[in-house]
Amino acid sequence: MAGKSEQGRGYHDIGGLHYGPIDPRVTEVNPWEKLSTAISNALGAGGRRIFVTDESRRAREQMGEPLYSELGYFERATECMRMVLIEKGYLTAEELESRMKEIEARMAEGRK
Amino acid sequence: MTGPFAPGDRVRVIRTHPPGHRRTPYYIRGKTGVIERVCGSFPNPEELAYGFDGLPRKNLYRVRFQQREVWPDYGGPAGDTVDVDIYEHWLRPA
Repeated sequence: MAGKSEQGRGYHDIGGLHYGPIDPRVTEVNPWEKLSTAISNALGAGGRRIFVTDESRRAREQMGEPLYSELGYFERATECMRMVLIEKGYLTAEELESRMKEIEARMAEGRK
Repeated sequence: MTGPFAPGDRVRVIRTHPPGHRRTPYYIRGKTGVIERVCGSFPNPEELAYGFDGLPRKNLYRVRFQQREVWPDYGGPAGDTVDVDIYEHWLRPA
């Protein structure tokens, strides 16, 4: 991570820094990851045009550390979609959280 | 419209680190290269990133750099190059 805090360098802007070898193993894509990508495409420039890729990229640079480094690829993409949709007034954090609680409760019910 | 530069022109990438969504990677700022091709003009992604329309469009250039200039400790063959797509507002004549 040497040099990561160079003046003016964003935490996402890692070209040329040493991060060790790339893991070439192909991982299985989880269903939620596919669903998140599908929703993003449906809302994006090729769909409803609610946001563009550039906004989603900007959100990655805005979420801050350590969150950015902790999240996986699809988690970041999903978090960015959340950020931009809230920013643009399509939903509120409260609405999203109450809906998540509702679904969590329903799933817990289903497991009984 | 091809903008201020043509293939073969020497250009310098401005060395500045403004806050916000910027499309010129840190490692190439301040380096000098040669215009390899004009890629066309596109809505400015640095504006699109904040929900604006990105107009007027900006010319995008593919700029070729010598690896040895980009990475002082580059160990590969002399003459190796790296191409980076850079918008016109990041470039100055060199």
